[in-house]
Amino acid sequence: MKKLFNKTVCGITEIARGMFTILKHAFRPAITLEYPEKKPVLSSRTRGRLALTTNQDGNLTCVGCMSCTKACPCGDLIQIESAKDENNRTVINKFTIDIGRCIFCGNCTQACPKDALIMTDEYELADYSRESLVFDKDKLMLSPEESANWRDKKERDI
Amino acid sequence: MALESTFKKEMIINVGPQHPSTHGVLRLVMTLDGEIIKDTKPVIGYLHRGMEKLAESRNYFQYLPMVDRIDYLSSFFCSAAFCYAVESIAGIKVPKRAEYIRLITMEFNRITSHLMWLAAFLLDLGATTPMFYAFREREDIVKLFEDLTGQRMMYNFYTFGGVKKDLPEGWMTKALDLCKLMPKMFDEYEAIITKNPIFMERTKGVGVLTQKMATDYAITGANIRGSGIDFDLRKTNPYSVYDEIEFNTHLSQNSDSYDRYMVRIAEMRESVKIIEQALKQIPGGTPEKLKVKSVNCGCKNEDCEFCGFDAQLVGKKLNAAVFKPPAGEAISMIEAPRGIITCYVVSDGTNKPSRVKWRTPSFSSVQVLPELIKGKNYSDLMPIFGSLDVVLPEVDR
Amino acid sequence: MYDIYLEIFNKLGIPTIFAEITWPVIPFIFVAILLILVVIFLVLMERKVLAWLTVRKGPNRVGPFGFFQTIADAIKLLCKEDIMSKDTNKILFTLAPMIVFAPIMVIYGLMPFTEKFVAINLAAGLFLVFALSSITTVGIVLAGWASNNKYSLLGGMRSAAQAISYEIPLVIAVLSIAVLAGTLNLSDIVVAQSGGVSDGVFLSWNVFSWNIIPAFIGFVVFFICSIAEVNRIPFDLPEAESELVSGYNTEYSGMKFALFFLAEYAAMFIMSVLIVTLFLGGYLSPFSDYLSVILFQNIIHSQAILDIFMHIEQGFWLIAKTYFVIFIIIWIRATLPRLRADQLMSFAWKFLLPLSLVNLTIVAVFKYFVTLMNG
Repeated sequence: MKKLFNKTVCGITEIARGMFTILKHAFRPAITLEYPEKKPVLSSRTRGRLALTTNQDGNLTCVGCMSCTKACPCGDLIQIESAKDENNRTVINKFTIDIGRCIFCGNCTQACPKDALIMTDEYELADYSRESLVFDKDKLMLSPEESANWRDKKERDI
Repeated sequence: MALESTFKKEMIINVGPQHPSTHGVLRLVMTLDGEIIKDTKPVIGYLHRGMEKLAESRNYFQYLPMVDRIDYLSSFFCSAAFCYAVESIAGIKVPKRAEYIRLITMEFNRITSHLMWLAAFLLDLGATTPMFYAFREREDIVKLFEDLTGQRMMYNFYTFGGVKKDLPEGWMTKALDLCKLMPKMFDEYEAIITKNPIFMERTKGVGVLTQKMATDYAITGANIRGSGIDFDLRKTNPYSVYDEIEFNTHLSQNSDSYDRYMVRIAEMRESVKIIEQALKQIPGGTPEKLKVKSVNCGCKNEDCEFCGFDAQLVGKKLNAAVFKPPAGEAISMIEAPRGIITCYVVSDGTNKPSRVKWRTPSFSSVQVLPELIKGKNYSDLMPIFGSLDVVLPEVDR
Repeated sequence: MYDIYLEIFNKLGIPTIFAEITWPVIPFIFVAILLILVVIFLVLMERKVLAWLTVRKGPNRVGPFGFFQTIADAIKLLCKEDIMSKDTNKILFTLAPMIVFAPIMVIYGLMPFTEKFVAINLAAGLFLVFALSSITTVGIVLAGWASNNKYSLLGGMRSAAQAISYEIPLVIAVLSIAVLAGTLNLSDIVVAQSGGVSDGVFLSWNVFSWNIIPAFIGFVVFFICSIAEVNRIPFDLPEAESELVSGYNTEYSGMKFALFFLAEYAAMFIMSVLIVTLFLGGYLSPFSDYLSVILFQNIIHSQAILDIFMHIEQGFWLIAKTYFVIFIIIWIRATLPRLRADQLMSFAWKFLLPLSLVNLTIVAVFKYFVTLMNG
């Protein structure tokens, strides 16, 4: 009899303790971030959409060394066609990345020796068809100002 | 319809593969007699992605991002297992700073994995609120990971010989603040659940995993420590720098679901202590201090704390395109949150591994489920299955 | 409510024969409007309160503070396809939600919301309330059987067992109230809780003569059993989402599911109103008189307008107490895990039933001494 009484009282106190712990949370601010009106602040190392940097004259920094295609785990995701012009400098004719199949691992940006292929912090890439997610050179290219911004940020960070 | 035939027929139902709480896509074909379970047959393979076969057609650096996805809740551990195996074959030494960073990230990952387990376990039992609190804590840790590696879940951070990047500025202060906050949050979860009479009735004496059963089915991790067997790979065969950190393993003697729950909560608290110690002991200190001191010191001595080998991030700079470890094989074992992850790599001298074999802990845990649940009530499936901490990507690979 | 209706007809000069002919429709309209308003607010309140308890925000997109969320949910459910599996018994399948919902609507007509706003004032109102709430069990079993689904059958059977086991301590706890009040008429039970202990400034407050004071154990037993009757956590094994994928609800879609959903919230509200009426003094204010009457007594001298103020204040007190009880029910839902089926049964039979008998004894002894003291 006494054991039953003890057990009941213990049970009620523990339930009450749990209930009051939960009630305390009602007075704390909500942790919801109301997307899409408010966007989260991402870190500087975030691996988002791939992009190609350009130098001051508007040419791509890429030299066509194909290191990124060899480092990508996904097979033929990155396709590059390059040719040499009169001054023996490489000109990139075609640079296609299938963003729909990319796993955003960052191997290609690590492998690139010239920081030509970088990752921005854009993640809202949804679209209506798979073909529209195959980005070509014009869609991937950043403007010279954006490239300079990115290089500044990289100097300051890591 | 004669009444006798309905009395003797047993009902066969399918739990899953689409079910709110099989923790993934698992199908359990159950034979029920009223509410008592007569037999269970787990059917796996719904999440098979061919992880071991994929390794044969990619070189080592191309395979590294895929290793994260073998168990996406504890991806640092899978990554560590693969890296240790390949480093053992190629004979690459890992500097101490990189080992400390690996240890800190692995212990944080243990906490996030256990928090996810807590959320799912309590949600199955009907307590819907601790899930949100666990995810709030998990959000803080995952933001730390995003600052460090660039992604919230599939990190791709370890490389052969060390880690890819150093800690960013201010990371260690944020991590220490989080470590001070977390034990209070764990106290809150315990106040809600641990001594709750309904929870205790549901989990005490339910799902008793005897020591003989555990050793027969090769179950490891917190499941076996809840049954009283003191086997923690971090203490018996220390890898990384676990022999320089002081910590305890927690055991429990009753072997039921309640004890497995208590062991995991205690492990979370222990991980917080390990992280605090490691953050104080890391060679080189904070990255700003390291940068300043190494520029000032400039002595290039091997033993110097700031510019020697131990303050580097990678043991040897490797070229991803031409990395060819010598022919050989190696096994590495890591104490992951669910048990022991084993990675066996066979190399034949080319830049692609010849065979990679993974042994994951949830595979063994799923096999013990039919024996634990035979003869029990159907409602006992949830506490037993939840406390075993089975995650389907690990089972199917 | 019949006398108010007659008074309005008298004032307007229409002969009373019309009042007698058109009377039967009025309780139905009253109940329907009340039900819709109550459920709209209650569904939103549950989602908002659960969200606040889990550091989130509840629905806040549809209308200010999410006020129209329930209407949006109802429109969505109305537009859904009505799926029926091949081998189900169509008549029983369609009948089951109606059997679950209709008795609860009838109970709304029996409750005293204010002194005059009782739709049907029966002498045995308390008895009829429990007779009606037992019919819903039949509907749940029908739903489980007619779905032709093993999960639903399990859910339906469990729910029937649970409902029957928890009705017995419920009714015995209510017996003690009948002993205290000496009547089964719900309005008279409320009036019997007024007056306070004796004359005096504090002691004449109504709160000291509420039934919760002598029958506290009965209040606890009734509270727990009413949560079990409505199938809420910690007793919601019949619709346990993680175990049975929604139990007897699984095969229902569209408006039939909406009826089950509506029935659960309507039942929760009416059980809370019952708790407040039986134990917490119903529409009486906790003080000795109504605040609005005291405030306006010297300003307004028309008795009719003072009466209106009194009715409004009675409604306010009832709603305030009811929503307090509902908040505690939602709070319990947020905290506790689920009980297993056999633990549920043993809790009811081995713990609550003896407790309710103890309560009956205590109340009977208390009432004996009270009548002795009052001569």
